[in-house]
Amino acid sequence: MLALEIEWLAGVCVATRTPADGAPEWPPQPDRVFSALVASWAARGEKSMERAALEWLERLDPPCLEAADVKPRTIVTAYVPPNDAKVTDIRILPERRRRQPRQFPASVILADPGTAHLRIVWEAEPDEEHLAALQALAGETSYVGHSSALVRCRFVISAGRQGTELKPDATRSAPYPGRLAELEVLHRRHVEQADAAARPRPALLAQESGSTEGPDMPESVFGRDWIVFAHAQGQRPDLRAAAVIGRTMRAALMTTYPGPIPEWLSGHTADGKPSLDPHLAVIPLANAGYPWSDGSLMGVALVLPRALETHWAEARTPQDFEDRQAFDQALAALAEADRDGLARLKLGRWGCWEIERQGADLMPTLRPFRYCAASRIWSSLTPIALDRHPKSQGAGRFAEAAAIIAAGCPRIGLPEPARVVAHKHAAVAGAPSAWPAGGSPAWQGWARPNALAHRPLFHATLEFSKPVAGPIILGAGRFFGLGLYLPTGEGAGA
Amino acid sequence: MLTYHELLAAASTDAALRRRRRLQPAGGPGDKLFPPTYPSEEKNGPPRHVFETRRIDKQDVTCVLIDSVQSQANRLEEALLEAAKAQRIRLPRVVVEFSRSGLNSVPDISSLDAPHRIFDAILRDSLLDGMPFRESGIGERVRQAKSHDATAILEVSPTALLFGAWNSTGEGGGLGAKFARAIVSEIVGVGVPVEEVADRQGEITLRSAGRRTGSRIDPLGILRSVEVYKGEKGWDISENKAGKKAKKVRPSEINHGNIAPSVEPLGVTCDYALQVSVITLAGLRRLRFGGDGTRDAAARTYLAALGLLALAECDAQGHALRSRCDLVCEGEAPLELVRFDGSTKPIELNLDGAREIYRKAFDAASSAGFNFTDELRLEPQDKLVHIVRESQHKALSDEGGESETA
Repeated sequence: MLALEIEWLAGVCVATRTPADGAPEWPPQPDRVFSALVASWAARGEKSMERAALEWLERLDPPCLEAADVKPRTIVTAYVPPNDAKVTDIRILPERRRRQPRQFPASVILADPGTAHLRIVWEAEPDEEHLAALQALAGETSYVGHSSALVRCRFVISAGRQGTELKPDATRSAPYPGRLAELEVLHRRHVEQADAAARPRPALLAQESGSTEGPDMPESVFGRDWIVFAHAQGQRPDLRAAAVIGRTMRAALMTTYPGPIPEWLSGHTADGKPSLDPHLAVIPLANAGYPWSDGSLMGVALVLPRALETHWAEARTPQDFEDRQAFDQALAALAEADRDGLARLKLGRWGCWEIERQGADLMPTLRPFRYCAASRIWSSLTPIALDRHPKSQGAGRFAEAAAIIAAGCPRIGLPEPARVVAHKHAAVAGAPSAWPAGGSPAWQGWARPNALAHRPLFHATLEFSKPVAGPIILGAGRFFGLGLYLPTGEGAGA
Repeated sequence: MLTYHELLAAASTDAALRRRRRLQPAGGPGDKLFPPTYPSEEKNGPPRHVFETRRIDKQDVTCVLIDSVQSQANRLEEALLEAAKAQRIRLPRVVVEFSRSGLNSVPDISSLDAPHRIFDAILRDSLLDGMPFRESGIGERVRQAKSHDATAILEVSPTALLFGAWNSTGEGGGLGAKFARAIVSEIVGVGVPVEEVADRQGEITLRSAGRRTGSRIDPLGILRSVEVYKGEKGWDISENKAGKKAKKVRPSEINHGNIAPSVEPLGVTCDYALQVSVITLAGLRRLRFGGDGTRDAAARTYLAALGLLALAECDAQGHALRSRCDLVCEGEAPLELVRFDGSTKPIELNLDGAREIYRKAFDAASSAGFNFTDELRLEPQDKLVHIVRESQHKALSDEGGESETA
C-alpha cells in the first residue's frame, strides 16, 4: 500500500471544511492534499514524469484516512488591514488602515512532534518512477491548509496500519480521473483571464453531510455549499424585504448569466411554465436566534439545488464544467469592478443594498452550517407563504395552516413532521412576526412579489420524529427566502 | 555550532528547522500575563482570550494563545529592522521617508513594517526618483516577479519571501503573484487555569480563571450628576455653546469623572509559555531565481539564514509583547533539523552564530549573482503629504477626526 504521511510542524492545522461553514476541517481531505501536490508540481516546472505520477494517483480508488485526535481552537475574529487604500486617502497609513474581519479556524493536533498526524493510504503500489516523482513533490509541499499550517510530507510503502495512535476517519472528497487537468484549466483562467471565480470546488465523493448525520438521515433538496454575500456598507434593508431581495438577486443573476438561462436559475421551463424541479433559492441571513438578536439583515445566500451541487462537484463532462463556470462568471459580474467590488441590489422602496461576496471567513450569522445542522425541531425565521388559503377561521385556521405546512415537507424531500405548531409570531428571537398588528400600515408587513402577494403567511415550529438535516426552506416562497428555518431543538446526538 | 555549509546542505534536502523554546513572565514564574483579547460573538459580550487544548508529555493540557502567527511575524520583522537600523546587519529593504517631507510625526515606513510588505499601497504609490515606485525599473521587476523567478524581490526586500507577500493589487484585479510564508512562529501559554461557563446559547466555553480589574478615581472629584453637553464644537456646560446637535452627556464621556471598578475574567497564569517556530526548507525550495541550481541554493540558504537571524535577534531584543505581557527566555532552546522521516537532529546556534551565518549567506548569494540593494529610499507623493498635514492640523484644532470602524 502507498501511504502519504503528513506532520503539521507547529502542531496546528489551519483549514476550513468548506468556504461556507467556517468550521475547522480535520482531517484535511485527499482532494485538498492532491491540490497541494499539484501546486508543488507547478512550482517545480511541470515535469512530465511528475505529471504522469499525479495522473496515476488520481486514477486510484479513493484512499483511506488515519488521523490523530484533535481539539478545535476557539474561533475568534481577527481584524486585518486590506491593501486597497488610495494615496489620496489618509487611511493608506498603517495606523489608519481600516480593518476587515477574518477568522482562521484551526485544529490543535493531539499528537507528539516527529510523528505522522495524518496518513492517506491507497490500496496500490507505484512503480519506482512514480514513487520517486511523488516523493519529489511531497518534498516541496510545505503547507496543507492555510499557509501558516507548515508540514512535512513523505510517501512510504506501507504493509498495513502501523500500530500508531492514528484512527480511521471518513474520506469525503478525493481526486478523480481528470482532476489534474481541471485544476490546470481553472488556474489558467484564474491567472490569464483574471477570473477570480475560477476556483476548484471540493471533489465530493458522496453527498456532503453534517458531522452528526448518519447515512439514512433525511435531508432536503437544497444544497449546503452556499454562496454568501454580506452587507458591506450603507443602508441595510429590513429583513421583511427578504422576498424582494430574492427576486432582485435572481433577476440580476439572469442578467449577468452568459448564454441561455438554465431552468435551475430562472425557475421556469423553456416554455415559460414554473419549474417543477428545485431551483436556486435566495435566502436572507439575519441576526436572529440568539437571545439578544435584533433581526438585522446581515447578508444573503444563494442556495443551489442539492442535486445540481453534487453534479457539479463531480463534473464528469466538459459540459458540467462549463455550466459551473458560467455560474461563477455570472456571480463575478454582479460585483461592479469600479466600486470596490461590491454588488448593488436596487430594491425599490427598500433602498439600494450594497453587498460583498464572502470567502471562507464568515461571521457566525453568515455560516451555512447554522442552518444545515441536523435537528429534530426547527423554527421558522421567515414566515412560510402557504400553498393554499386555509378555509377555517379562528383557532382552526392555525391548525389548518399547520397541516398545509406539514404537507409541504415532502415537496422538499423531507418526511412529514410528527407535529407542527403554526403561529403569528416566530419562536426565533429577532424574527419579525408573520403579520403586523391590526391597523398598522402596509409597509410594516413582509414585502412580497406579486405572485406571492395574496398568500397567507404563518410562522411555525416543526417537530420531526427523528433528526433531519438542513437547510429547510418551505412553502410557496421558498425560492425567495420565505419559509427559512433554523434548527432550534435537540440534534442527532452531537 | 551550525555552519553555513551545513545550512546549505539542509536547505537542499531536509524538511524544516524548528525550535521549541520555553519562556517565562518577566515578573517570574507564576506572574500574570495578558494575552491578546478578541471580541465576543455575543452582542455586548466581554472580550476573550483564545483557549485550546494541547498534548504535552502525553497529557491534554489547557493552553492560551499569547502571540499569534501574524503578530509574531510582525515582531520578527521589527527585530530585523532594528538590527538593520543599528547597522548590525545588511538588510535590503524599501523605505518611504516621511521625514524628508517635513512630517516628523509620521515615522518612515519600510517594507518590513508596511502591512502588505513590498506590495503595500504606500510603497506602490510613493516616488523613486520622481516616478511612482510601481512604474520604476525596480518596481516593475518586483511587480513581475513570480515564484519561478523571485530574484527582484530577493534583491530588494528578501523579508517578503520569508514572511510571505501577495501582490493583491497586481495585474488582473488582484491575481498577482503570491509568495507563501516560509517562517511560522507562535507563542502559547501552557497549563492555564480556566473556568467553564455556559454562554447565552447554552454552549460551554472556557474563560480565564484570572481577573483583570479597572477603575479610575478622578483627581478633580467631578461627580457623575454634573451637567455637561457635547456637540460639534466640543463640550461645554451650556448646550448652546457646545454647538449643533449638542446633547447632554455624562462627564465620563468627556474623560472626566470616576469610572466604577470593574472585574473581568482576563489575564492568565501558566506553567510556562511555549514559542514554537518553524522555518520550512521545503517551502524555500519552491522558490526559484531564474538561474541554475547553485544560484537557487544560495538564495534559499540566504533566506533560511535570514529566518534564523530573525529568531535570534528577536530573542536578544526581548519579548515585550504588550502591556503586562513581557516574556523572557527560560534556558537554552536548541534548534532542531527536521528530516522527512520525522527524525530530528539538534543544532546549536546563538546570536553571534546566526549573524555570522547570515553574513556568509549574504556574501554567497552576492557571489552567485544577486545584486542586493541596501535601503531603497522613496518619497511620499505630495498629495499624501498634504492629506496627512491636513489631518494633523484638524486634530490639533480639535475639529475631530473619524473613528475607525472595522
